Amino acid sequence: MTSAKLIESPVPGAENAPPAGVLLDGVSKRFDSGRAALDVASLHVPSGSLTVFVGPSGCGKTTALRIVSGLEEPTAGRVLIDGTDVTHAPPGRRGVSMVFQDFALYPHMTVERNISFGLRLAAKHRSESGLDSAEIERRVTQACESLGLTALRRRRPGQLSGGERQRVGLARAIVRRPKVLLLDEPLSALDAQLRQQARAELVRLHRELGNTVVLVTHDQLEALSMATHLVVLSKGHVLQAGSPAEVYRRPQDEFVATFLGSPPMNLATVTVHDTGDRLTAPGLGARLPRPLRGVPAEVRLGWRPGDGTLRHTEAPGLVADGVVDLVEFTGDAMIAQCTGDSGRWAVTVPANDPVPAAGEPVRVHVPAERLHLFDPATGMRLEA
Amino acid sequence: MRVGNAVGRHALLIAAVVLMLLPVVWGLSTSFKPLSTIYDMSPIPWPGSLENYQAALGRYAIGRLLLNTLVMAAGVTVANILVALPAAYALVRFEKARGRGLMLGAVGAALLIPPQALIIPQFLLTTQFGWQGNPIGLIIPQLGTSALAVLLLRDHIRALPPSLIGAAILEGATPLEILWHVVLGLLRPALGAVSILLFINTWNEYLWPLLVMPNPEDTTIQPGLALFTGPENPQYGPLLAAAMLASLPVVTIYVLASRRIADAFLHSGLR
Amino acid sequence: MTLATQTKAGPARKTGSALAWLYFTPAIVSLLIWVYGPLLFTAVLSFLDWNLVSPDAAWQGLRNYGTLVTQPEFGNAAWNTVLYGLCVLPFATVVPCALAIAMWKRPGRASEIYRMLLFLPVVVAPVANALAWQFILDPLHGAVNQTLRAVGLPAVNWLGDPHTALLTIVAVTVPKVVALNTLLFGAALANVDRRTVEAARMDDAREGEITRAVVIPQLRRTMILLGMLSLVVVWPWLFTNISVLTRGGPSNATDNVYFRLYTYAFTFFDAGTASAAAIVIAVAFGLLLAGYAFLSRRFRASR
Repeated sequence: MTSAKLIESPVPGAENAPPAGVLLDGVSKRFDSGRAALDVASLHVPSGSLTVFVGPSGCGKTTALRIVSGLEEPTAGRVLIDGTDVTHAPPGRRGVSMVFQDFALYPHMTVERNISFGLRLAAKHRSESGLDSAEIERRVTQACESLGLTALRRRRPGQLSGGERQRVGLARAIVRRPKVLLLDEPLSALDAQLRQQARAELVRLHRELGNTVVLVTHDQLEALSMATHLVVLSKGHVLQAGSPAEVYRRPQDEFVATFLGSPPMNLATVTVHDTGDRLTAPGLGARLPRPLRGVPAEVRLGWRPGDGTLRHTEAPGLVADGVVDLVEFTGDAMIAQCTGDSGRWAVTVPANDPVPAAGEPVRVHVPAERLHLFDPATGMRLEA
Repeated sequence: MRVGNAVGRHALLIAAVVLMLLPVVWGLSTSFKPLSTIYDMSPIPWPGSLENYQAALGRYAIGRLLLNTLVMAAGVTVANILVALPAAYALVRFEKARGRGLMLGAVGAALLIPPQALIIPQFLLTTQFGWQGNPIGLIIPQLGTSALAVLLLRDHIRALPPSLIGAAILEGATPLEILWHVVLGLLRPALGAVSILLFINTWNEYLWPLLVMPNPEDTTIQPGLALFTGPENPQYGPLLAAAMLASLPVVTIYVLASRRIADAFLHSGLR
Repeated sequence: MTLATQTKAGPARKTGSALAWLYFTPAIVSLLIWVYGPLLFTAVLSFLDWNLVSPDAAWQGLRNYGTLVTQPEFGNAAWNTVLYGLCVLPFATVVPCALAIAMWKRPGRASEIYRMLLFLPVVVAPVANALAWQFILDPLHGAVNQTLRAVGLPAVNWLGDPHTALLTIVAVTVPKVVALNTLLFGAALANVDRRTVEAARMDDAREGEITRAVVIPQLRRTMILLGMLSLVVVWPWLFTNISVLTRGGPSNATDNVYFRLYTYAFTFFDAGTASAAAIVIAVAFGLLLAGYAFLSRRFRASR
């Protein structure tokens, strides 16, 4: 699979000890319908990281999370948590806990009963190693305090707001001190304002707990802003994994390039000239500092709207001409949507720069080091 | 552990199915046994015989009883739907109408009044109207059960997307046009399910036909069957054959429409 | 709806109400003639001495109610009614709840088939059901007693022995109760969030604990509602079976107030006593429902 060689974190060989954190090793999952929901050669969640699985709906991110949780068993492959094979361990016995998308609070239990349920069960199942009631009470109190739930302890989920429910779901998950905390779209049930706040809260919590957190989201902005380690999935495969900055700056393929970033990366198909350092298409041309070697005659050229400027420069790079269709105000900047002879593209205009009016011709310059090239056949990144 | 759970689960469900259905299945099997082997413990009626069915159809005039029952069940179903649909619709559509709460209360309470507390006046009224021994007398008094139809239909109408009714209002449709063009169209599956439930329920009615149809020729299948049995030495073969024939129409309808019926209940007030 | 009627809520509301009552008319007329009128009439009859036919009826005051109290048959019937109710209750609540959960936990083809089969007793003609039972319970040749004899146990005269007759009538009737309520519990379960079960799995709860601590508590109100509802609908079903199988006997062992009422009215043609019995039933019922309303309000308050 192409995805395998793209993973930059060390993949364990037979001779190495398995790494700490979570490892999905050759895991695939087929549903009864025969559709493969997930098929990864190796997916590693580094220990102590806040790893975000991101991708469009149906990409397999939730399936991957549920396989880690144990709620779903993989069709093939192994699940390792801190080096221990937990593939067939029941969900409650692998040191993971989970916050569900709609929080799945027990509607008939008070907040504190919800939070303590797992601990009380553990005390009942294993009377020798389980916690006594004083310790359970202490842990629940601590979790409530850390998440600001102290005043709500006797309420039931039906009497809580969305944000409060989310915090109860979190408290229920962390009170068991899991090695790995799984969050399934934990912010999607919150309204926009609350989401910002909850995002910060989650990052703070991760720092405080210091354990491994896996978060699933379809929101690329959320993924970029929260992750310490980012995994981009599509159609059941891992496309790229790495730090958010790295994935954003050096997308390994066209899908990753356009999925991350808003507005998405501009793309145009360009012809490579014989010298290898000039790329052209109708309405745009690019000069590269070093000639390209061993690339197809036509390549896909990409640039992010934020990397372009309407100011004139002589430095090597891309020059594209177009006519402004529409100017969008985003608060900090303007986004000019333009049409050129090779298609549509967008450019971000900083707030203090003069803003072109709709219908006006514009010329955008992009420095050469901010250009991305992709193979038109495979979509893979080409190194300049 | 999971395997153990699965076994326990199937054991529970199979035990329930067997305990609940065995007597009837046994009766079905027996209805095909000839008189000589009728008390045999063999569950399979082999060699089978249709003599019981011939006797039931010939001697007991089961066909006539089934026809009477069909007329009653269809009549009650149609009458109940016709009476209940406008009320159910108005309960949803005119949310702020004065007295809506009263109407809803009257409908709900009607369901809770034990029917036995009403049969004497209902019987007298039917006699007064001269409907004794008349199919009308079989059907119209059962409009008392329309309360159930009102509540079931109301739940279904409430489950329709309100934006569709809203759109029709904006287009200037009158309430009657909305009922006719929008609600009825959307409601067709639910209407079918509710009709089937009413039909099955009425088909199985025992007490009312017993009271208003004194003539064994004119009565329906439930009391009719009971007429053939007696404490002294009942003829089980033909009787069981007749009993199976009495269940056949509704069981067939149910088997064909079981999905719909389940769905109808999913939308009932239990949410 | 025009803008004008929207700004003037008063008249619009009035015409809306009138229109609504136009739609209510067929149903309300039906209910008045066949339910509420008869209820009132029953109440009046309960104070009269009348044989359903003769033109003159005498005012009796409370004497009909006195008759009920003094007649041992009615006391016996009332006691049996309570017994019937208590016997039916577990089959209206615990049993169908367990069956519905068993199907809900693992949805799929098998559960669909169980669901279909388990509802059949509701559909099977009640008299056919009663006859089938009568056949297998036949004291001499019935399949049950043949089986008992085969394993060396004494045969039982199920419907003829006053000690077993009431329980036998219950056994003949409960499949229908179980069947209907299993479906209704299934409907209630459709609104239970399956993720709460997954959350409990993550909390390392065993299957039994999930059922007991997570699923059943979410069905508690349904349980009370269906227990109640069954005590409303079960009497006609019991009536049919009593009427076909025992006619209240042996020695009134299977009698209940509903069958007694029928006997007063249509065997003895004593409309007054029968109506008094009907009113007693209706009042007892009202008290039961008030109790239910009280309970369910307390549950709602504690949620």
